[in-house]
Amino acid sequence: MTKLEEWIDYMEGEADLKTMAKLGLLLEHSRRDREILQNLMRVRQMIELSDPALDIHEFVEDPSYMERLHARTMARIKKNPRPLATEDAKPAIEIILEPDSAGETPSNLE
Amino acid sequence: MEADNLLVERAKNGDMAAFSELVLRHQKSLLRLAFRVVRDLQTAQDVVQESFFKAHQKLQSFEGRSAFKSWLFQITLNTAKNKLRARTFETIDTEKTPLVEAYDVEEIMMNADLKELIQDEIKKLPNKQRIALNLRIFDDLSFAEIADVMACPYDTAKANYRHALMKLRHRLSDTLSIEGWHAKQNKTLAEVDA
Repeated sequence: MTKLEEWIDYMEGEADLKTMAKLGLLLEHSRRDREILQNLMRVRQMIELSDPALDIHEFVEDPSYMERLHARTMARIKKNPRPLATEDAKPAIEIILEPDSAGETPSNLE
Repeated sequence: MEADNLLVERAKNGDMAAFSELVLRHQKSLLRLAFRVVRDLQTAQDVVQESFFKAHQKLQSFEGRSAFKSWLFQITLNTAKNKLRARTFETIDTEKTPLVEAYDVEEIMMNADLKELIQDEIKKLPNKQRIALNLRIFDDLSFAEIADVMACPYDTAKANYRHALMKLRHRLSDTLSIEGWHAKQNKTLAEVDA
């Protein structure tokens, strides 16, 4: 794993204890490493703020709007009763990655 | 609050109130998720309704090996993508499309052009990386949940996210400098990496 990947794991709270300790020391003593982490955090924040769903924030947070959506959803469900259990099937999955017991390999990535 | 899996069990036994609670609990997240794909509020609403409908229809097949939320996300993503494909062949009636007003805080915090630029860069990412990034940053899912939604191993979900973030960091480096995010340092990201 590269150092940048380690910093990403650190930022996401995914680094193991050993790596956390190592990077913690770097944060204390290395200006360059602090810059890398700060930069990653800025990029993440910018991506977060570019969320298209922020455009519908006022609808999502409007209780009456969501109540209406809920009512319409439930009305549709009640109108069409569920088939018997034997007729059920799993939903089609379009996002399929090749299973890889070794875990992370470049060939698994696009 | 009753756990999702308990509500699911009740709903499987025909308890409509339990399923109604699940809809209430997850509809906001699904609406946001659908909107990110279809970029139209009316269509996103249709996707949400259809996804819950499908989930209810197929509830018996949900075995609880993944979180119910992950399963819903999976159904919604597929439904939204199908809607998007179908919409290509339809004429959109703009008269019926509700206007979406800009979200003030967002406007203050981010220039619209910059937002568009970032979204354009996200669109350029390979599909799996883009999905992993969206689910992590926008939907705040854990990597275990992302792995469930993407039907892939945990490490693969994480690796896809990392690669997406590294690419975006690299591609946005100039923009970051222009926007003053690097006001205190003139170094490019490449220099920082070196």
